[in-house]
Amino acid sequence: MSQTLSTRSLRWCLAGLALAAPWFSAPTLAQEPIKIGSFLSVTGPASFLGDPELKTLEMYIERVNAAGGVLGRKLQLVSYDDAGDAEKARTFATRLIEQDKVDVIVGGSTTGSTMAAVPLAEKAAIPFISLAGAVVIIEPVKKWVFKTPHTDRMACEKVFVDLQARKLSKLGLISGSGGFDKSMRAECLKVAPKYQIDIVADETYGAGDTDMSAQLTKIKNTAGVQAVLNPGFGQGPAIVTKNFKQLGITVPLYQSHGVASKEFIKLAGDAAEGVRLPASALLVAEALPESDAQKKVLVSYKQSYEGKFKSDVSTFGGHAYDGLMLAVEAMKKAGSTDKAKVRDALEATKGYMGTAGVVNMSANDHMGLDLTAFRMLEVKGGNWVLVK
Amino acid sequence: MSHYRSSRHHGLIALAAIIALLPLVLSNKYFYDVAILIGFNAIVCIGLNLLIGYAGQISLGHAGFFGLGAYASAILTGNYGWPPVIAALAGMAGVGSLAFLAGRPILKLKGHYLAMATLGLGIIISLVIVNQDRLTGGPDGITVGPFSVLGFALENERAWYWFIGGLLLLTVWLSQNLIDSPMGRALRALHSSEVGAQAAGINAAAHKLQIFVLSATFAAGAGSLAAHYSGFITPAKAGFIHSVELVTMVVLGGMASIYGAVVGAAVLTLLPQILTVLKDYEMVVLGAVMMATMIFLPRGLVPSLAALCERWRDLLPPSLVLRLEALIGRGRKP
Amino acid sequence: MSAPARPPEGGASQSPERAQPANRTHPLPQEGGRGDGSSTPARPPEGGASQSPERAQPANRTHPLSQEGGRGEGPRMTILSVQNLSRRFGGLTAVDDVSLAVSPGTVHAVIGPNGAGKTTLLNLMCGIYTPSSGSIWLDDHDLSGAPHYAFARLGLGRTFQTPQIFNNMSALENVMVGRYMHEQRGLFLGLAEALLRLPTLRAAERRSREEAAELMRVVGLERYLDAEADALPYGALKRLEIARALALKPKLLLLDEPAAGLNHSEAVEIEQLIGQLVERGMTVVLVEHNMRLVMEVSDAILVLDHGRRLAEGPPQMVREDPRVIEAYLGKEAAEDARSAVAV
Repeated sequence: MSQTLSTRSLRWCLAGLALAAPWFSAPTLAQEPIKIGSFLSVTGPASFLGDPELKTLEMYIERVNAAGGVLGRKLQLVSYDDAGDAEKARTFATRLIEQDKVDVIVGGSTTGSTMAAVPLAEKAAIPFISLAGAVVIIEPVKKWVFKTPHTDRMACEKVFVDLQARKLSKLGLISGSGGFDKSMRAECLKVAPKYQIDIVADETYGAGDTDMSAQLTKIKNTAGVQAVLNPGFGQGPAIVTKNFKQLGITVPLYQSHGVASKEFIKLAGDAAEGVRLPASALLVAEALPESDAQKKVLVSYKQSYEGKFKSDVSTFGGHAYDGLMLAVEAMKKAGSTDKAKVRDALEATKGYMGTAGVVNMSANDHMGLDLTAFRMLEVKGGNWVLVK
Repeated sequence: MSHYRSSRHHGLIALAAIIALLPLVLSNKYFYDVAILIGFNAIVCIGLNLLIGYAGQISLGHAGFFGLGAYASAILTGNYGWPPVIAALAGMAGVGSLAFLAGRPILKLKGHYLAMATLGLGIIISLVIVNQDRLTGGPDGITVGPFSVLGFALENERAWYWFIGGLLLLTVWLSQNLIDSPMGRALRALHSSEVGAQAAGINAAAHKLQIFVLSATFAAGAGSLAAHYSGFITPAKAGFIHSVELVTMVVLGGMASIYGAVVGAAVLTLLPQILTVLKDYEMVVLGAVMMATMIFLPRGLVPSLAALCERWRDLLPPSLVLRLEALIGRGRKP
Repeated sequence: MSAPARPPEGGASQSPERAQPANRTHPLPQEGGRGDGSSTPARPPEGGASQSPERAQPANRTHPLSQEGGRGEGPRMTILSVQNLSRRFGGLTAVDDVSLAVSPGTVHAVIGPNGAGKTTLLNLMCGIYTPSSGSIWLDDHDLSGAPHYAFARLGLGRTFQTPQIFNNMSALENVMVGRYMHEQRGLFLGLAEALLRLPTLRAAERRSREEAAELMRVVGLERYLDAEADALPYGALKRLEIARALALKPKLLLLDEPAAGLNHSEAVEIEQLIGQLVERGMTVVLVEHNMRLVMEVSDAILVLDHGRRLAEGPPQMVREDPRVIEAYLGKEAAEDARSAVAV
């Protein structure tokens, strides 16, 4: 009897301990969340970047936490709105590092805000995954800085490869005067020789221009133009496309990934027919063949985002998804949130499948994407279709 | 007047004491960073207040001058290897010359027209910065090297803090001197009654131009240093929104009040940092705070509070009144 | 100022202006001719069209009164000389061919019914308006078309009908502003001195304060030495403006309705103040509605009507001039005008 009692009581005790365990054992580990710091341009002129990025981070951190978190700890997002101002970005990055003591930074919507925070991350030795486009962020390689979006240069290269396939080599450029436009134009000029592309015309238009016929006429009259590329963002490319059609220019027209959205087709109307552009596969997620390794990730992200926010998915949100997931993977692989270990794990990322493409980082490449990240799309019947 | 002169010294001493003691509560680099930003903004706002508050001329293009100073430093040190101090001085001289040339036609205008013209000037400057991408890095911005004075590099936040603190005190001192000089009286006179000032032999156009140039030079100097401190500068700093922010700081803190400019800069630099936790509501609350201030303290924080103190001074012991006045630096009426 | 003391009433020939009203012809021959009527018939055309009054003048542009200067003995006879001044606003001629010569140490009043062009004339005489034709000489300087501040710099101090007080500073500082042109040291030196508050500036400021305080005492504002300007009553503001104008150390003081808006005793005080200033050798041009004040202090009076000179002369003569009485009171009242104007 006493035997039974003691066993019984022992059993109860053990059960009690087991129940109580979470409350006693390592409270610091279980209760202290992993802090993901972020500064994004949620308002201001670059809000088209920051807004989907923030929504994506919030949604997926919630999901990760619902699935049990990372390393047994919950994720906590600490985010600030830099309104596209590099100085604010620097101050908020300082705040994330010094005040909030975050474990990793995933943010920086624009190149300017990213570059303002780069010296801080380097000095404080904290992994920083940027969501901005320009090559300068990772070139030259900075020990603590990574980025998820493909670069403008890759978009140029994708177009040039397509031109080569079509046996075209004389290209006319018409670019806008925004940050994206200028940066891409410069990159295209830089890499053109590598692909034996001759830039035979190089026209620009202003931010608010509503007619680009003059510039296009110049290109039309340039001897030997075989194709036209329009590094541009916003309304400009749609106007270029319309004018292009009105002037009866028959050579192929390429747009950039800056206008890879349904909106562009809506604005340009019939004139958009036949226009090609390099874009993230996200735009044609559902149309990808089942054999495409990226399809699962893309469809899942797209449906989640569009289901929750009732608005079209954008590649920018995708960059935030990739940034967060890369950080999560790296922490899992490192088995801790130790900053140096997480950094090393990030640099060692291989074969991660994200919305931008397959990521294979190395000590020399803190982006890890190749040209397969871009898909060449063409407008057919008022919709984007993959160029086979 | 002797009263004002003594309170002027009290104000400087109080400000020096605040700057000296503040590090006791600045527990990390982030707080230092915010304090340094306040210093930069305060220096620009003091210069802008000389123009707006004392001389009565509006400028909606001051960020342009700030930006030009910043880019001058970035380009001259980065591309041409100039020493930072020389680059900053060259930037100030260049911006001063530009303000002189542009100011001559612009300052003939009054009121809304002057606002429009300065706005246009600012926009042109920011467009040039955006479009001269080979020099300026275009919309993405440009990296700026560290700042050094006489071989001493300002490497960490602490060094910058003391440097900017000293510079702020110097700016306050210089500006107070200017206001309480024949030239300062001439400026205040033409603000109050231009025809009266002319009747006293004051060449209004020349004085407006002079203060416009001085004010632009202050902005350029602050821009140079801010660029070195940030290590990175984008055209946004030369843009319209930044200009409006600066004018707002001046108006909120109090027109025609040196310490008003400092307080305005402090409040509007701090508030967004505090209110950022409100996320989506940040701008709404910030706007409400500013509207409430202008409704209840219409002359701006410092002059309105000083006037309140004046009203209360009879109720308080005189020694306390003196000390309070010294603390807030008794702004002048606009 | 080194202007001679006010000449005695029956002043001998040293003051030609005095004699001027008596013989009703302007001392300057070319003016006399034109002063008679606007429709002067064909003057011998010297160089083309003669409609422009200035055309005739370049010959003696050096100084219009040089002949007089030669004629008169001793110090200069005229400190302010306005010649054939006209100002048109669109179709309206507010001031039409008015001439005026002011001798040092005298009070010269300009009166006239409302709308007679007094204020326009005053604004022309200090550079706020530029003349459509005619010229203004202050001492040896031709100031026609010069900016307002240049008049001040050459020695013309003025006050305004509505006081132009600098409300953003103290009363004393208002007076100190008047000293500005004596303190200015050029663009860069002045700025450096002001910014750094160099010892030279400190000493100058101390002197400036003392002199400004002294001027406030002169105009009877000693009790407001520590006051902010906007705390002063209206009557005191009028005096503060006079003190500020005196701080310029002017050769000539232009007072625009100094008694307007003042009660009787205040007006008397202003009258006494003007008297004191003239005793110290100041020359005053006075535009005023208060006839008692005008008759009391003036040595000569110019009466304007519809922008033209109606009469000019010593007070006694002007008040008896039937044209003046008619202009002020209308034809019907002209009969008992003598007593009315004499009030």
